[in-house]
Amino acid sequence: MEKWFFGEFGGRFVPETLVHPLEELEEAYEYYRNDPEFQEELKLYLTTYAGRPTPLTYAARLSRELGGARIYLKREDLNHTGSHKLNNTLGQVLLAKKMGKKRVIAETGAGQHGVATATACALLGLECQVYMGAVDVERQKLNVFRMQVLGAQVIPVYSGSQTLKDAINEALRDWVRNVDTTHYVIGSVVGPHPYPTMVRDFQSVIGREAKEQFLEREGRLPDYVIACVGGGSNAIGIFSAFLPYGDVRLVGVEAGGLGLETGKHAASIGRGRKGVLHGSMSLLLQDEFGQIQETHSIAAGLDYPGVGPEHAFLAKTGRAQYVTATDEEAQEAFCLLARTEGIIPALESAHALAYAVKIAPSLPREATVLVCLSGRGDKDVEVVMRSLAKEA
Amino acid sequence: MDPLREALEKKKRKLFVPYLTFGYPDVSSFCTLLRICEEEGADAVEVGIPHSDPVADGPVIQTTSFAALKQGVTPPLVVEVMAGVSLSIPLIAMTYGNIVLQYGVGRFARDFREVGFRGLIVADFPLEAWDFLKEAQGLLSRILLASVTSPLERVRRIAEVSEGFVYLVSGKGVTGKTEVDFSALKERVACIRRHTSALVLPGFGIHNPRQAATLAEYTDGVIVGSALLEYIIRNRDTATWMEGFAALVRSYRRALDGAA
Ligand SMILES: Cc1ncc(COP(=O)(O)O)c(C=O)c1O
Repeated sequence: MEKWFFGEFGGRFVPETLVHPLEELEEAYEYYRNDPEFQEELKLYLTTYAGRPTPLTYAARLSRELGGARIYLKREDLNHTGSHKLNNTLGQVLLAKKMGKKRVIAETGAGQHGVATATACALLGLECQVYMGAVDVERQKLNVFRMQVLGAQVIPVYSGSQTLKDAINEALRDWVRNVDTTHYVIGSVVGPHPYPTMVRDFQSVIGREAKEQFLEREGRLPDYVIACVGGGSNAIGIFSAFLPYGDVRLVGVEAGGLGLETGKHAASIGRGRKGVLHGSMSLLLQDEFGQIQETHSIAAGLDYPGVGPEHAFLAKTGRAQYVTATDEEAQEAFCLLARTEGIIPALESAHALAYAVKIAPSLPREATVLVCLSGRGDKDVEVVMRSLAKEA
Repeated sequence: MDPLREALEKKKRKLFVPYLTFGYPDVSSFCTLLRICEEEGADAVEVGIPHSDPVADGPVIQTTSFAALKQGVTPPLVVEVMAGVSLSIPLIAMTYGNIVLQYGVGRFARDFREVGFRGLIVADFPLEAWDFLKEAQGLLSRILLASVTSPLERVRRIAEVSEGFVYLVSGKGVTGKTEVDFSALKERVACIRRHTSALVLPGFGIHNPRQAATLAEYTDGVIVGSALLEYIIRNRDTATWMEGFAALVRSYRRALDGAA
């Protein structure tokens, strides 16, 4: 059972009906993880289809404007479908196909993971259904349509708070009913074992590439690696390659929403308490009785009351540091990057950038900061437009 | 032998265990429903302590759970209310792990035992996860779920360590929405009978007395939740819904007595 945990976090807290399917999944994953043929096939999709490796960009004008450390961007926004999410869905859908599953289900909040899953299913010829909170269906109409165009069925979830956590609940219920035919593609490093480990492995391609690219460019490792943390998959993906190097400071940026003091945020590590949700022990935003609380972030992809167990562990051991950026700081970073570099980042990624913007000016010129630009911001321009109009 | 098991065996009949969500439709009606269950021949009652994220539950228990939470149901309230209710049948708490963890496992077990609870079912904690609930040991019987997807070897292990009875999930699905898988169920009952002397009660998706009687032919009784709660949801605006509920409980009792 020890390999199910990262220290005191992780595990497999699921209804009995899912225990055996999770064992089968773990076994299949262990097998294909070590199967050169599977790895070759996945690599082929990642290169010839997704467009990997994604570039490492030196943000010259941004760095100059901030007047301190040199900032580099790992460009997951240039991955097919516009975010890092596809790295994971290609891996999991390929695995599902090898396992003989005919049908794939997923949850989605903003729709990025739903789109990435629908894409991988279209590519590999599997049936795809995506659960999405009714509130999110309304907020993210464009992504709903994208999924439908890709041949997936989007199922609105009306229970609970009708957002991401409820979509995960409903996907888990579906999986309980249909375990024989169906694989559940979880979209982040959350859920019961083996998901946090498996999703990390599929996302670790970000870190492997970034480390090599950075070494080639700078001849050394970065001083800081910064990534946003919703469930934590892009962050673990880029951190994983730098974990062994104690000099590299790893920083995860959670959604500070309207400010931690307002209670309207999604800072599960910053303000959460240990508890169990969606199959693992981690840090959660919950009330004193263990009921899960509603969260807020301008970035739908960060709007989740839990966090991957490995992040809870890295926070506890101090290997990584977790901070927050508010909605406003993220929006400012969003506009700043667009203006200085011609890149419109996803609002999620703008949280990571906001922290880089905060620390860069006080760092020396020799210092380097690597930011994971997890996705592109096309999906967010409307939200930012409305929000800026409100301020004006 | 553990006290819950003993109390159930003493009944010497097919067991009927209704499930009710605490505080649904409201706290005082819930207390009346408990009394009705006792009077109409229930052998124990499972009391659902609601959670905001009930992943093992279908639409009916989701509805009753959210309604109860909206009315301010909390574990301390359950203890407070139940302290004033005295029943001749044991109560079994059914909830999710995080509710117990946040209350404090030892404290939960002591407080709930004090007010009439004898068993604990945690829908999202399989066998291995009970390492986190050790402090409840000796206070509340650890009732484990086995499922039609559990391999026989695992079913055997679960039956060997489950206290009170084995809760056999009767099909692939969540509460209320499950098609009973008779052949997989029979195979698992046979496995439990072969290796242990545990009591076996199927639950999930049992929705009429006839079906209950059929299942009770080769098990020790049944657990019925969503079917009872759905009746309440549909009829609680009528003047006679409590009588109707009593008649429904009675009909399960009679069907099970007929199957004995
Ligand atoms: C672009 C982008 N970045 C980050 C996230 C947050 O997820 P994670 O923390 O798993 O990387 C999302 C989620 O939808 C996203 O779309």
